[in-house]
Amino acid sequence: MQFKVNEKIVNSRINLSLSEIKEQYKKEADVVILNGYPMDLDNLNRTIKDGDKISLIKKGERLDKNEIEKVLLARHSPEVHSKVKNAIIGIGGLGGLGSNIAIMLARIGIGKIVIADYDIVEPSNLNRQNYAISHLGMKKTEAIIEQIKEINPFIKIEDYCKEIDENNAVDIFEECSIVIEAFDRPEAKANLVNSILLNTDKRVIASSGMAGYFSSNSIMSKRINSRFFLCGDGENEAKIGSGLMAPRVLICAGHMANQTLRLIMGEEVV
Amino acid sequence: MDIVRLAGFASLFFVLKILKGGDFMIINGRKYDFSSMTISEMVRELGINEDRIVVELNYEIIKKEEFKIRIVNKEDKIEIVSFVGGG
Repeated sequence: MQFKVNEKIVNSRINLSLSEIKEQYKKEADVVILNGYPMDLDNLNRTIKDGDKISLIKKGERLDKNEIEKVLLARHSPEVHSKVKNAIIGIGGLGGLGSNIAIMLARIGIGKIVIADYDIVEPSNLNRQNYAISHLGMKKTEAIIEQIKEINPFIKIEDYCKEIDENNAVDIFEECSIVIEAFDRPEAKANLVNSILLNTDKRVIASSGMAGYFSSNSIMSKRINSRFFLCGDGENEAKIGSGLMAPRVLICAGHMANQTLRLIMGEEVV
Repeated sequence: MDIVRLAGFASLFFVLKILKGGDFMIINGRKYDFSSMTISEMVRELGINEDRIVVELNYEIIKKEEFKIRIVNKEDKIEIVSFVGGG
């Protein structure tokens, strides 16, 4: 008989009950989930069957590196996980796009993320950026680090709380294989993309056009050349009457994060 | 009748010009009947702000400092990515 306990495959010749498994694998667990259903802790007599999946959780417990690794391996497969884990990705700007992309990259287990933004979290950011009331007044770089630590504390992060321009972009993102342009101002977008394309052999994923509540399907990923990818609808800028709102900004952020993952996995087309 | 014939010749000439090809500038996949000019002049003609763009001329990215001196010709293939604000 084969079953899984916290994503680990277990082979057993004898029939075991849930309470025996809890005793053996995680005595201190206060939540027991069998095949996705939470079980009553006072009634764990049920016998495990072949193919069952058991999850034993101690509320509030910090996960260690092995446990996080195990879960990512099980979810993503070893081939994907090893490539993602070895990737070093840069993000310029931690606004609506950058903050959400940073969190997505952390969730999939990117080895190292280089983040850069000079800004502080303000109330007007909360409509689309990945920050909460508790982050108001904090540096965006610090607020992102705090959140990533809560998702996967083993992701390496290098942070720069300063303005990025054509003079420092190459140095800041030196280690990265892919640089994500997630700025707000069109001049800053063009500057970063030009610097990376002209002065390095890195790839860049940039953004243009995601304001308002136009069709979700107008936001696309485009391959400009082998090193330059562009996400967005290409036309809808942020302006009065057509502001930046969470749904389309996050659709665009999703395009950019997925394009990053595709390049990491060797998929060269959009 | 003469006007009809003239229009016929004019459209024939236009069709021949397209069939012949090669003497149009291709910008973002569209044909433009532009003659030689600098990149700065071209983007002004197109109504684009040159501080917000990435220009690829025949698959080569062009530095912003070269926009005023680099000449684009008929038969060139140009990609201009023009960024809009928001992020």
